[in-house]
Amino acid sequence: MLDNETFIKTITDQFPGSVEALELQPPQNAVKVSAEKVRELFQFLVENPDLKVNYISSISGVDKTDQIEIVYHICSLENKIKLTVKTTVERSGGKIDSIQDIIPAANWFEREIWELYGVDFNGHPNLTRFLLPDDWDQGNPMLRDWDGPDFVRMPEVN
Amino acid sequence: MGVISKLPLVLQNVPGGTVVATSLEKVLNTSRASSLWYLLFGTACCAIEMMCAGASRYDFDRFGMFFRASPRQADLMFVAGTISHKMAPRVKLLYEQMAEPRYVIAMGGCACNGGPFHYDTYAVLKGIDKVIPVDVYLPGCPPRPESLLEACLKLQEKVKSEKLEKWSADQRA
Repeated sequence: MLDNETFIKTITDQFPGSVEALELQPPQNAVKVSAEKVRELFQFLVENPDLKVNYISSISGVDKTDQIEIVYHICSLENKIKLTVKTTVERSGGKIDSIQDIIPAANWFEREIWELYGVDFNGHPNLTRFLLPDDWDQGNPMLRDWDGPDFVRMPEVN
Repeated sequence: MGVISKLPLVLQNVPGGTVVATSLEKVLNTSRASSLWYLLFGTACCAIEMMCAGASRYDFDRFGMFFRASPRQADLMFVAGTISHKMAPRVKLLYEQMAEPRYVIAMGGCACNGGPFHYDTYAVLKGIDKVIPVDVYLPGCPPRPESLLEACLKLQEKVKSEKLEKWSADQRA
């Protein structure tokens, strides 16, 4: 079983310059990666015999107002290690490579991010309406500046 | 409804017929109010309170209320929980499938006006009364089983005060 430090070091050594470890309170682990390297990184994480990453809990999106951050929450169940992979894409018309052929469970998470944040996943086989109503035509509601017909913003509280 | 809804129209032409009509009305309303079978339908934590009210401690059965798993057999619908925009057409469909006379209790803040999900949401319907008519509003998050029983008693009052002519008029319209 790997410990946290070796786990992170194996990853950063494989991708010098493009994968950066973030300082967090243990046992939390996080790495930041550029959007172009995401596929390569996940390929490595899954196929490496020591890391044994075999589970994805979720993919989240964060609207940082100037760009969109995509956060992959993955685990290695055998090593009992959780890892967060963060990457950023452009806010309007953002594109990123799909990882659903590497980790099949990512399929629905990517659809969700596509629907709620408008991020395009290259190579995803089925980017269609998912959680929102079937006749939805009001854009991507999780963006911070989104507004809809009966959307009520929380009043400022002093 | 059938024969019963036509009856007051016939009776009002008979001398002393209105006396019979009011007695009939009373019998009919009492039996309706005492057997409000409700639809087994819940979407959030209010449904837990509804189940609790239906179980032995609070015991809906003593008011003649039983849950029905089919809208065809239900007279009453508790909208118990948050209704999203995606769920709203389904709730409407269930309501339309219920046989008349049918009643609705909006249970909890979410069903009344969106409740805790009123602000900053794209997904939640702001009150079930935007989709189907509501008879009793029951605020609370979630309301305790006692308050649900109180809401049912209020509804029984409403059912008992209904006029037979109203149903005849609805039938003609």
